[in-house]
Amino acid sequence: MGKYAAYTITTLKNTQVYKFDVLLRVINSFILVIAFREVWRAIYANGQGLALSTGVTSQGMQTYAMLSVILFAIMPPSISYEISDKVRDGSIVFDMQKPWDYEWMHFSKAAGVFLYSMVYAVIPQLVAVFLFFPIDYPAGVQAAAFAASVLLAFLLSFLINFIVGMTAILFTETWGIEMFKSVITDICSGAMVPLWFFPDAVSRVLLWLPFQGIFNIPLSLFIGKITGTAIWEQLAFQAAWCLILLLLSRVILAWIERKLVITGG
Amino acid sequence: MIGRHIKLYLAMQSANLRSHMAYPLNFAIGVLSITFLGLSFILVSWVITQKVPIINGWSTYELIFMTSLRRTTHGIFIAFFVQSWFLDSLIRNGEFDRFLVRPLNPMFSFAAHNIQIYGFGDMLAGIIGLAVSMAHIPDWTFGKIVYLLVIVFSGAAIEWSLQMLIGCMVFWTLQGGAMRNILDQLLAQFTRYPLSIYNGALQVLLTFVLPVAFISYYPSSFLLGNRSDSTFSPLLMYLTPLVALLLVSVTYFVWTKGLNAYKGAGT
Repeated sequence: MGKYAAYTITTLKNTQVYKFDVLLRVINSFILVIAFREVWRAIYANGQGLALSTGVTSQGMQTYAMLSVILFAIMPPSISYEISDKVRDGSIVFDMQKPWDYEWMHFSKAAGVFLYSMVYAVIPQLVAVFLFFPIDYPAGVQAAAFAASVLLAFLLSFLINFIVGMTAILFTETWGIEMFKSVITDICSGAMVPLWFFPDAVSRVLLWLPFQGIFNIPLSLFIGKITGTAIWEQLAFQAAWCLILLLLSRVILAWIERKLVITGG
Repeated sequence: MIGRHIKLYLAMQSANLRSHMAYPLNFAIGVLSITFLGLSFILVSWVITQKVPIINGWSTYELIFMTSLRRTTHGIFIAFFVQSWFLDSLIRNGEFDRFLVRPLNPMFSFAAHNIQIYGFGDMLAGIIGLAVSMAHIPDWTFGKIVYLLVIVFSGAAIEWSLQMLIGCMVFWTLQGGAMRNILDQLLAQFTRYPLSIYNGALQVLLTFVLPVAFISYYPSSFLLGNRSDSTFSPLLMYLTPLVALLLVSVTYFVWTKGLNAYKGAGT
């Protein structure tokens, strides 16, 4: 365990080098926060009985939109490009031979970036949002469920990234697959438009996919769209998908390691 | 003289294109995935208008038209001018000097340096969106379609100018690439909905400081039936080509100044 924690800390230290970059990232997502909020405010102002038909008030939707931008900042970065670079120069073999679990290694690194984004991006942004746009925030069980849900969302996003990243070992060139992944995740997770805005038939399908666990569930918990026993169902939904994807990633990893040994001779 | 430049430009770009097509599968996947990305923006507009059919007086297909207009102009920018994104890294690596030693205008040489095939994916998505929305919007005349072409190229010119102006900061500061993300974000977010939904400060910013609104909002206002729901003079609807011309002139001026500063720093 110690070596993984050490790797997390090292990543955290490395990422702290780029201070100016952080400032620009914060400005960047604050622009997005404002843009999203204004867009949804206008949409609600133009919609007839939208609060009634969707069960979410204009204020709730604005909160959802602003938080989706902030949540975006803590999602783990894609690893496809890094892996495909390593496949190209052959150093992937050394990574895999090291006495650590390859998936844990990547997870520790993602955890380092998570801590970093938390301190340097999420907290300043939340403070700014609370100061400029007063929003209702959850308390008690609802707040605890939200926190747990965010962690599960992070895990889900990491597992999807890891599985897509693994395909980089097979195909070397990953740009296209990576692009498809981000478009599908952005649309199906509710990051751009909440799921209850989609036509019914579409949203019924999307509700079964793992992607909604990344944005739709945690943000719905925050604004109080999910309450009571539904909280536990939704958390269980996220956890179940985490488990499925974890198993899938282990199978793929084992298969690739075997394949590498064979081709490596 | 101009004929020679056109010939030279075509020759350089076709060489670039051939080098990109060396891996046909990557080429196909790349263009396809960008088309997919572009269409996803259009899809989002569609989904929202299924619940809210009219946003500040703009209907589904009018909003799709506006989003698609920006995708098309962005595609042209990416395909032919994306190198302005990399001005700072070209200078830091010392690769920029080759544009200066060629017996050509450095701007021309720089503009012909690269062609980015992914831009064609954006153009494709944009053109699909434009075609679908235009089929649902009445009153298209030949004149309007010709003007639409002018608008598309003006929009690409506006994006190019803004990107280059930020890129040119590198001549004085040797950095500036980081500001790019903010500009990209402004361009991507604020070209999708009518300007009138934003607050006053944003409207001033997007019209007079970084004239992003001239790419899709103002020309759409004009093309989709002379509506004027902006807070400013209705005259702004017609000004996109002029704004483009003005910005390109300013950019060329700043670029020339920048080159002088750069040469001064280099020797």
